[in-house]
Amino acid sequence: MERGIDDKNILDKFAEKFCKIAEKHLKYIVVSGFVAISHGRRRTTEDIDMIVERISFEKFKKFHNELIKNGFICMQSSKVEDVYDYLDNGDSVRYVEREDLQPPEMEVKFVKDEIDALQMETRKKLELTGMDIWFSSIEFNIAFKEELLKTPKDMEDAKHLRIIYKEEIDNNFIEFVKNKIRELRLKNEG
Amino acid sequence: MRDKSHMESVERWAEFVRNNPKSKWKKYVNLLIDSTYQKADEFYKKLEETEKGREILKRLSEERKSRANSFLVR
Repeated sequence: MERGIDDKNILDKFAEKFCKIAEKHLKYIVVSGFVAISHGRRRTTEDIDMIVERISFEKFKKFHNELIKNGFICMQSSKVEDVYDYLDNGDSVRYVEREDLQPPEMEVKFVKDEIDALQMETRKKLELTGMDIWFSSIEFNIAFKEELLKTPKDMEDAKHLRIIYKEEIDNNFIEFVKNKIRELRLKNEG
Repeated sequence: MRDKSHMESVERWAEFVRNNPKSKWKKYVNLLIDSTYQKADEFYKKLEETEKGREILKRLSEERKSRANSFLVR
């Protein structure tokens, strides 16, 4: 494979570049698949999921403009007002770095409830990943994968993280998060 | 869980595959697959450097062995 100038893989380069800009403008966390992949799960992903704090349009505009200035493109719209509307309505928006709009993509969404707010409060830099990125805690990732997402891929991700962090995981906290998921995300589902 | 931007993204990629030769779209797929494998290799190499990391590697290896055994028993 052709390697980059600094010898980092394209996913890491993309994620770190995006997060470095995000860090200057708002509080964010990277969640889900990229957390597992950053811990050695041998599977692919097209997108990296990011949750950001809810900010005003003016603040978002500065963040968005800096992303654009640094070569990122928003797939949903080139108008920042439209992009903000997406986020404000609870939808996610996607940024790519390539002019041909191909992956990897950063999927960005606003904090939507108490669970996301708590994920944000308890965010961590995970030393084992070797990345200077804020992640949601391992407990949160396991709880979401085992209680909400539940696909075979997610269950394998959760198991992988449980093995890696066997001695450090707070199982009571995972149960607490699972209860919150049942209460806030699953209560309206059959 | 997946919202409309995810489906839009799936559709966009499918259109790209439909409208371009395999030699073109395969490059993107390979780039992503290679980078995730490269990322995993880097992670495991880093684990080998510390006591804690070697302990994790041991646990992962035991898990793989027990999974392989469970297939053999079936």
